[in-house]
Parts: sequence; C-alpha cells; structure tokens
Amino acid sequence: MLQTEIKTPASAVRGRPDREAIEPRLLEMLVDKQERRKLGAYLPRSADDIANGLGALLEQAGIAADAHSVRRLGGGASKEQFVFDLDGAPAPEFARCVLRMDPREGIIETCRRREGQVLRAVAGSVPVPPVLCVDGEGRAMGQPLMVTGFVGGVVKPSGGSAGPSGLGATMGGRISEALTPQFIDYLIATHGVDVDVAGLEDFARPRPGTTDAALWQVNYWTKVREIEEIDSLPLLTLAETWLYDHLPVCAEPVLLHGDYRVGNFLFDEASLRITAMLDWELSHIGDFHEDLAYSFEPLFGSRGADGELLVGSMFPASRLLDDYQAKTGRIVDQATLHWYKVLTSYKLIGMNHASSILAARDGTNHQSALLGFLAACTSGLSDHLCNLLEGEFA
Amino acid sequence: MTPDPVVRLQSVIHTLEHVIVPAVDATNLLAVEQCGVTLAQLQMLLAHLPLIEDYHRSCADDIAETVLALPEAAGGARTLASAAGLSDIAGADTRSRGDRLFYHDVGRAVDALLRAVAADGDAGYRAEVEKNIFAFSRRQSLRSRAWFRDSGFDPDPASLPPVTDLIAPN
Repeated sequence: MLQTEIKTPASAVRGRPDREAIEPRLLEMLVDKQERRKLGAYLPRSADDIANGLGALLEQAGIAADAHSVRRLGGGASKEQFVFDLDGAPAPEFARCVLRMDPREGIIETCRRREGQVLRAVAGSVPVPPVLCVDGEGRAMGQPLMVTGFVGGVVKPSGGSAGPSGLGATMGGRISEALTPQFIDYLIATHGVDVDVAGLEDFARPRPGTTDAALWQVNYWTKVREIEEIDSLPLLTLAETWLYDHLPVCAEPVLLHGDYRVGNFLFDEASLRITAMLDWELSHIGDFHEDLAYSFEPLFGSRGADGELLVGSMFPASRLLDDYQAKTGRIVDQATLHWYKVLTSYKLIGMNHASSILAARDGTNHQSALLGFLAACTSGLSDHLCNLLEGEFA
Repeated sequence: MTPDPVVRLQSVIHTLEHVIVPAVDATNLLAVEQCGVTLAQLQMLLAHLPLIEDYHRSCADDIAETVLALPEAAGGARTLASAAGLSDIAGADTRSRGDRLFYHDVGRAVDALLRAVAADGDAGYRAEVEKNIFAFSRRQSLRSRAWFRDSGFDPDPASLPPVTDLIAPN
C-alpha cells in the first residue's frame, strides 16, 4: 500500500498538535470496546468450544484441513491461547498451530489485524510465528482471533521460575551471553523494516521531524485512562501534563515492537537460539527511543552488583545503548530517552491501574484473578515514575 | 462479630490450599495458574484485613492535608474553578461515603486541578501545586509499596518499612 493511502490522524494532516490525535484503528478499537462492555461478564472458552469453532474458521479462511487435539496454552496475561494440530495443513509450519483470541476485555486493547500485518511484515528479518489466518472481526467464534504456526522453545530455562507474563525470569550467565546479541540484533532488525512497503494497512505513520509519534502515544494512553480509570492516581496526571509539556520531535519514525522484553521471546535450550519474538500486539510506528526506553523499565529487569540495570536480567543497559548506536548509526538523545521512559511508566501504570482493574472488577476477562493480582505492580511502577520525575517539580 | 472475618478467610484459604487446589486437573493450565494467584491474593487480603481501615484513613488524611495546605489559587477561570471544587471536596464533613471513596473523590479533583493549572494557572501557583502533589505522590507510593510488598512485584522489597510504620492507628 502506498503511504498516501494510509489513514492518518487529522491533526497530522493539519500540522497542528491536537490532543484528540490518535491512530484511527486504535481509536476504533477503544470505541468498539465500550460497546462490548455492555455485553457483561465473559466466560473463558474451553478447548471443546475452540474445537467446535475451528471448522467454521478454516472454511472461512479457505483452508481445507482438519483441526484436532485442541488444548489450552498457559502463560500470557492478555489473550486466550490454544494449541491444536492440523491434518492437511497448507504448509509444514502449520502442522501444529496456536490460536490467540481476544477475551471481551483485558489489560490492553489491541488489534488482531494489526498483529497479523506486523508478523507478516517482519518475517524474514526477525524470527516470528508464521500467520495462518486472521479473523479480526470475530466472525467465526464471536471474538477476534489470529492463528499462527506453533514455534517451539521456552521463555525461561527449564526448572527456572518466573512470575505472570514471564516477569522475573532469570536466564543465567551462559544463556544470557548467547541470547543478548540476538535480542539486540532483532530489535535493530525490527527498526529496520521498511514501513512503506511492509503491508501495514492498519498502521498510521507519524510525520518525520514532528512531535506526532510522541503526541499520539500520550493521547492514546490518556484516552485509555479517561475511559477506564476507576480509582484516581494524581501521579499519573502529573506525568500526563509533564509529557505534554515536553513532547520530543521524532526525526525518523520506525517500526516498533512495543513490548520488547524477556518473557516475549522463545529460545531453544539446546542451541540457545531465539526461535521467535512474540507478542507484537502493541507494535506501532514511532520513535526508536520508545523501544529502548521500554527495555530499560526496571519491572522487566534487575540490578547488577554495581547497581546498574540489567535488561531482562541478562545484560547491562549500557550495552544495549552502545551496541544499538554502533550498529545503527543512530544517536540516542538522552532527553528523548528520558521522555520515553516516563511514557513507558505512564502506559504500564495505565494498563495495570485502569484497564486491568476494570476488567477484573467486571469479570470481562478469562483470568480475572490474575488481572486483579497484577494491579498490585502499580505501586512499584509508581515509585519508578517518581524517580524519573524527581526534580521536575521542585 | 463471630466468626471473625479473619477466621472466615483463613478457613477458605486452608480449604483451597489443601482440598480444592490439589484436586484441580494439572493439565488445565488456566485453572492451575488462576489457583496460584487466587491463593496469593487471599493471603495478602488476610494480612490486610485488620489494617484496611487504618490504611484508607491514612491515605485519605494525607491527600486532604496536602490539598488544604495549597496556597490561594491564582490563574485563569479554569484554575480558579478547579481549585474551588477541590477545596469543597477536601474540606471537613465530606467523608460520608468512607475514607476510600473520599480519597478517590479528592484524587479526581486533584487531577482536574493539575490539568487546569497546566492550561491557565499562574506559573508560581502551578509550581506550588505540582511540587506538593508530587511530594504527596512520593509518600503515597511508599505506603502503597509497603501495602503490596507480598505481591512479589516490588523492585526493592528489603528497603520497605512495615506498612504499620506508615499508617496511623485509629
């Protein structure tokens, strides 16, 4: 698709910053969610439910194959996930498949169509699950879904512990040493995808050399709060006004993963190769500083003996900065990086403090107990946000 | 009040832990995962139960004292209206809905004032409001971290004081 055909928020066309400027597809998702909320509580799907719906899904997608042996996958905090086998699969990589289905509400509201588009766009540059089909409107099973080929691997070493969504996983020295360069290189490869020829029909492009990339993010997460925040947290509003006051210009928008961290990739324990980068649902086009800042969120890492943050408990933050700059030629601007760290805190707190609690309260998610529990991480995230904003309001 | 809510909760946790959870189909990963967080949540609630009133009152007292100590509002119409609304809510005799809801009512009025001073507040007044709300947020963050220390999410749980050191008993 040509760049001129891609939908763009009105403010970007007019060239005036506008707090209503949000990617059209994302705004559409939020509006749809308000309608779905009226349907009430959500019951988790069983493996039998999925098995019964797969025939219609495959027929709708024009795939002549038989699905069987459906079972639920564990892990993850946002989507219902099932694995099944496919006799007569159109290609060997689809002999076993994973189905990712939206619950009625969750910790984040994301688009299966966008996720499918970005997986197809990065395939060849980054190891990702191959996409079999996408039902973005939920015609086959009542909820939007995507089916990909199953990719083997683990998110943490066998026998190791981790919290929800892979948080707190530790790799150990040998594994970290092998995974670190791959982790960094695949981030760089993602940022190198040509977004103008990548088939990202549902993605809007921030204009280079403007504050669009930053503005759209603050606008989106502020809109989420406006719609979904049950309890107040004045610290978030302090951060909101600070973010608006300090919007950075993005010279060169790139494709971002949006949730690049330990817990969101699989690796093979024998070869120590990353087999798939997962969870692209927050992917968008924006400032490369955003993915770097997200990696530096302390919730996703730990501290080394010298106090330096270890990204994903694997390697020092300075290594990511050094390697990224050396390999891309991009210069990390510290003020912009700081701004995106504040944004990262802002949106993570928004997810847990607003969306998660709302879904837990209303029973509109398949794992309400988990969402209610995850909301407790708001306190640690808030402390980090205070650290980031320390001195700004003296 | 018999049986005591603590005893009722203890009995539920005991039964879940020793009867219900062991009977869950180990291949039902969703059920297994939800059992883990359910038990963890109930254990935290058990620890919180005797302290809930003190915790909510301390949070509510702190935000009310912070707001009432703000200087006289200065700025445009939006700022003046928001400041007046906040004073009304944070003033005395407005806790009929309880400390927890009072806290959030005041918090939402603080949100409105923060947006208002960013729009048309005098620079000096805006700075004072933001400085005081930030200082409050620091205190609230520490209280909240101590409150939820057992969730396992805190970046530095060893540094946290017991929550009882941060809340005033009635």
